[in-house]
Amino acid sequence: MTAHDLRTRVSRRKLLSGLSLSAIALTSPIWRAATAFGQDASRPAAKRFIGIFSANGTIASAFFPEGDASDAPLGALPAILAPLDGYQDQLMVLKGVHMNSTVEDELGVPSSNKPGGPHMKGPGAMLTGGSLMAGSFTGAGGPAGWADRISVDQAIANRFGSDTRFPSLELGVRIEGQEPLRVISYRGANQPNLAIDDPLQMYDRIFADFELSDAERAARLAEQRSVLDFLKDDIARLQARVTSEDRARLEAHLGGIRGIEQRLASAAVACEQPMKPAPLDTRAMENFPVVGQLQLDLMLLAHRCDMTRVSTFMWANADSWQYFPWVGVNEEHHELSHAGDDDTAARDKLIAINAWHAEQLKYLLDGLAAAEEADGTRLIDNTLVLWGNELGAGNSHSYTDIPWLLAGGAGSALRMGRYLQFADRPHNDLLVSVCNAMGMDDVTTFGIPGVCTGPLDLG
Amino acid sequence: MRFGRSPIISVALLALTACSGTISGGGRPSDSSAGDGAGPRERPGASGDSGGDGDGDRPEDPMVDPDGPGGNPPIDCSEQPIDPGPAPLRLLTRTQYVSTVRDLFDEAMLAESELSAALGPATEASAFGLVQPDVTQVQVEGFQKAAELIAKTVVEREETLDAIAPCADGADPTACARDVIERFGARVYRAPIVDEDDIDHHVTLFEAGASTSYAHGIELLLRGMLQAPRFLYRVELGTSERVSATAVRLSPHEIAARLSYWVWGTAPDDALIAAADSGALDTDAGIERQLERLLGDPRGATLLRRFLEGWTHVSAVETLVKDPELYPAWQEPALREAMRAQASAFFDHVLEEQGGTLSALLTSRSVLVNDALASFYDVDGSGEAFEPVELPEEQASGVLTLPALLAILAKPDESSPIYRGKFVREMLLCQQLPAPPANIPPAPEVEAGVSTRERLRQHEVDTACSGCHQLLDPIGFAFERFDAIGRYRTIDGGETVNTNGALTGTSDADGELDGVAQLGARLAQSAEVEACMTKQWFRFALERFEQEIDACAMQRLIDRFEASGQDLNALPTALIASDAFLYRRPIQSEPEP
Repeated sequence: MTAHDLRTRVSRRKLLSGLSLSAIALTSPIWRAATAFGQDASRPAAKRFIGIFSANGTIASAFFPEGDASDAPLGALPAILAPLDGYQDQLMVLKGVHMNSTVEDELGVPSSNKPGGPHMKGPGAMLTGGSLMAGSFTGAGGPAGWADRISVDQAIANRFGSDTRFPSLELGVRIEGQEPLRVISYRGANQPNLAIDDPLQMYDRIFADFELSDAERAARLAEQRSVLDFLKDDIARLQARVTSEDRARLEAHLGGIRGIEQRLASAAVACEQPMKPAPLDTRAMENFPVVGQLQLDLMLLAHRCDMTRVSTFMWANADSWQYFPWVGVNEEHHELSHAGDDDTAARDKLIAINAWHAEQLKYLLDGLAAAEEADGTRLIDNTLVLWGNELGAGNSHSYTDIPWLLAGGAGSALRMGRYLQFADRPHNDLLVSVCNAMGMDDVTTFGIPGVCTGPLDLG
Repeated sequence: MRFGRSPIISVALLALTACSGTISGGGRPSDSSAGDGAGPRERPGASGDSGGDGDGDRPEDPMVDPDGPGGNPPIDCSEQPIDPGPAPLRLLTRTQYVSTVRDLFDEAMLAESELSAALGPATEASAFGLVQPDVTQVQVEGFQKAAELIAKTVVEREETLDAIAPCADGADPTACARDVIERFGARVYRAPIVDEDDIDHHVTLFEAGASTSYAHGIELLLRGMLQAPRFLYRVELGTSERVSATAVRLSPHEIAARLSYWVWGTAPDDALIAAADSGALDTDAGIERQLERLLGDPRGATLLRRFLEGWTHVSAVETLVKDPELYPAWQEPALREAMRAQASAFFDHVLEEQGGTLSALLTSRSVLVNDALASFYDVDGSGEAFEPVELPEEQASGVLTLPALLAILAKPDESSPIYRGKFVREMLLCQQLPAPPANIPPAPEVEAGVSTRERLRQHEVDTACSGCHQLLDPIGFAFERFDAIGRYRTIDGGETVNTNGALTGTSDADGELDGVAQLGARLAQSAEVEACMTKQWFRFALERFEQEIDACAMQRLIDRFEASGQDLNALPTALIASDAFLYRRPIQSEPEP
């Protein structure tokens, strides 16, 4: 698509200044078909987890396939999922899995006064199975803060992330707004992992020190260790003198220092560094698809190069006010999502927006399928992708029937290629199943324990 | 007086129950997330308009009042023990970090852009940044990169190295380093390093690099110190001097750092450090003298302006999107930048030329115009500098008619009485609004020949809408003479603009009104607005939310503000006399987890 094409599709409110896609693609020589790096061929390939967020709910009739069977093979895909046609064997659509724990108390009793507006609650709950703490951001049930516990990607990273350069990577595109709208990944209560939504910054982060020779690297390592040792000592000294609350804050800081240590200790990555993308305005509304693709490329690269095994990706913030002129939507996504059920024009546009996101998922799956692991399997076979949303339906702010989609093989832990319908199960159960599929068999509850009813049967 | 939860429910409970199915029986306020009713961006309404616990208060200690508003018995402030409230460690903000580094070293040493690039992504915090999360991995990595860059730059510049870490030929390098740690370290940590063991621990780091060269040892030392929590966070340990069961005095250096970060946004200067060392900060009068000095400095002169800018969030105008066909001039950054600068000039004008009164802030008819905005107001331009122009009352009412704010509180292609009404409710009255209902019917398309007011008529007819919108639209209609970019108009949709509206649900400002000038005048008289303003100031200045224990401090603040004739310029001095500014809770009495 050229900039010109893009423009002609924009009607009155054309917000595009135009930027040629070809000018900024990641030009990586290892990109199209290559072996995943840095792994031991004698061991089975490591499992990977990728969490994906998109905003403002879905159109249920265009997301969930037809039929009432509780367990049916995945056949023809509805409009939103249609771009994923061909991947049926690698997909699982889940219906009847709600996110009511965002509005329930510790015992699973509905509670109307949990902090945060409906859009704000969703991202905080999607991967944590918890809820937002009280804070200063405007919202229903009292002003909200950050989420109150760890998210599933971080639980997985804590278990399996120590072998790689980054325990996890958090990426996204145009993430804006009040802070709790911007985050799905949490290391713990009040510990948001804010995603980087600028591919240039992400590039700098993951390819830091790439050019160094072995000798340079060793010298640098020794020095950094002295500094890190000093800091660990220094933090411990201060921790002894402050309140318990501040001790926890410093502990989080220490976690960051340990993260840097881990990166130093991890083996050099045998990956060729791609060209750095040319500068572009990552905040511009019209650059959403370009930035998104660059970020997907970087995420794929990080997995292929085994720099990380866990990542999350946010398509804008919750409550997203993004426009999608390239699919004929010249209105704010959020405002559109409030349209009534009988507003067919709005409905079609929302389907187009969601289908566009499915198309991006296909791009990701293509990348994962094209990469071979050292043991001969493909990256996609060992990866579990979880695509979720902050809401079920945007116009009612419902947390029922969240559009959950699992993709990939998770190392054969799950029987994919199915459409499963549950009778109102909490998404905490899904998060338990995700942990189990990743090999964390000891996990029996996730998020708010009181709402858990046991893992979903996905095997 | 109430703190935390907003009072709207008590006055508008009936209206709210018609508002949304999500509202519980308790009449709790519901959603007002960034988009719902608040508009597409982080609007001024996002800047912390309702209570909650402050930063660092863990979930087990929420200040949320379970009973909703109601009559608290009056508090006898003469018997209240001193309790300064929580004061958790705060990470330096991006601006504070950059200013601190530039003050510590030679300002010309590093461009702000280089430093910022090393630090990585910065997100502008909403709600005065009161809810500070724990540091993130990416931030820690950014601090590392920045520290490495600074340290390397220092040792590569001979004059800078000599200035901060002098070592004569033949002198013992370790002795020199000890001196650097004690002398320069006190600046970096904003407190003297007194513990020998602490100094030794720094010397060890120096020695790890000193095997290569003295300069390299200093480089490593700086790398460590610039990543140490005593530099990155504002650490306040307090003294052993108890003033009540729940309060100890802060050390003079902690007071100095509070003053300088609050007023200047950077570390204490030589004079402030000298005042701390000499005991001049041990008395209220001494602290006030230093405050006066800081406020008199160009850096301090912007304190109240920064408060007003943060509160109104006017910087959002710079990235605001408007319909290019309706507003071609908007597409050039020049207009938006001029509006942003105009807002600052206006705040300065009110503070310096119009007595700084709340009334002037809300009703001033002075509009600041320069040549970039001359055609916007249809007046003659007068060069780059902003000059005040008096406009008729229907065209200007203080902050309420700032184009930057009005443009933020509008849609890309039309004005928004809803956003404007919400701003008044949340930011001027400190009230909290409920959620929009499910299944909102499609909004009528913007078309020539139909006014915005006409399009919103549905809100009056449809009972699903009227509950909430009667709280918003009638206020917003008063602004209807201002279009989507805040430009004055008399015609909308082919009709003469009707600015009849009403203010309801307030304690002392209710009534019909016509036009923004009447709205401004009404608000300027309101004790509810006065209390809201001081509340916002308390949050901004103390970087936390008010709590029940702050009731007396808040009341004193309001009393002093009133006594000054509601002069905003009196707010800084009014605040430093408060318990929350002078003391902290003793650390040993904090409950164990």
